[in-house]
Amino acid sequence: MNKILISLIFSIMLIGCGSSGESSSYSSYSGPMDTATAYTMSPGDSIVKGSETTIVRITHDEGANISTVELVEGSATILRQP
Amino acid sequence: MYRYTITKIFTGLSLVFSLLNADITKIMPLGDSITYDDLRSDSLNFRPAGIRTAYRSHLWYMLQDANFPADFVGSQVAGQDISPPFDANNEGHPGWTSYDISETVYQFLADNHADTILLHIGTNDRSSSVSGVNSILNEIDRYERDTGTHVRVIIALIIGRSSVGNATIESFNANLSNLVNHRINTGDMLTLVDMYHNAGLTAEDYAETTHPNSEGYAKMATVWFNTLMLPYSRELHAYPSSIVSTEYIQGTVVDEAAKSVSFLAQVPDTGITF
Repeated sequence: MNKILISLIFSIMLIGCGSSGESSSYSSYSGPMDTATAYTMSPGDSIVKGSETTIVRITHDEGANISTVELVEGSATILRQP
Repeated sequence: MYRYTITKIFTGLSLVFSLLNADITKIMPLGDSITYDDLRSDSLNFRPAGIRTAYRSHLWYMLQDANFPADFVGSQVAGQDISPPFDANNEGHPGWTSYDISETVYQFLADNHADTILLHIGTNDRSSSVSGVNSILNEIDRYERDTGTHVRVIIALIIGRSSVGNATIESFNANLSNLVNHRINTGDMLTLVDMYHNAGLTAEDYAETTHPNSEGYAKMATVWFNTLMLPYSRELHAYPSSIVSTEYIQGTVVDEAAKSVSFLAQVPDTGITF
């Protein structure tokens, strides 16, 4: 019985990890950017380019503290404010 | 009774304080004689500065009627003696070209900061080139960078002249339209108004070849007023250049209804920090 319960709890934990929302994972992600992926940027976060020409699309809503950025051309890395 | 009087005093004071705290838009009417109000005939039959108003008085009354809190700013004073009174400050300089304005606009702003500039310039250039206007806008950008402020420029395709050919002005306006749209694309805080067509000036609206009469100036004021009344988010328009220099920006689109701005940015060597 205990084995069944432990397996059930473990399975629920795995499902929970897998279903975490995209926006929350990309709001804290650091590292190379993928194209066609929207990353949430907070004040202090930055982008550094990894190719001669790097173009990003930035979107910002009025009154918002955050912005969204997508890689359009080239390569870039996201650095989060510590 | 005594209590009622005190309540009224407090109500009055709170109204005064709320008016003092209201967001007042500092507006600089900037240009030449069409902004100041100077006729060719003034060289022979001089009109005192106190009665020269151009479009400014008409615009002021419209803004007052709309409860739009405004403060006209500038080193020049003209129209202060008319009734009803209006804010007579301006930067209209009769006879000046766009090149003249480009050499002085930085100091104009340093002396009297403006949130919004109404720019009608180019009539005295007598050329289709807009390089002088480009220099004005560059100087305003330099002022913004130096002071960390954002100035909205509402720039007009200039009015034509009456009873003469307007080929040069039409060519100037076409070049100006291209220049302004290019700069808007790169995140500059510009709004283009078509005074040439939308003011709807006819021959009856001119006091002489170059300058409108009061009816003509009222029509110009309506174009400025209608533009000032449109939704305009200073935050959204200022955002692109607040995180990356305009030379790296392209494709700026501000959606006033959705309250959102989107643009492409080439990432500089120093990166982009949000």
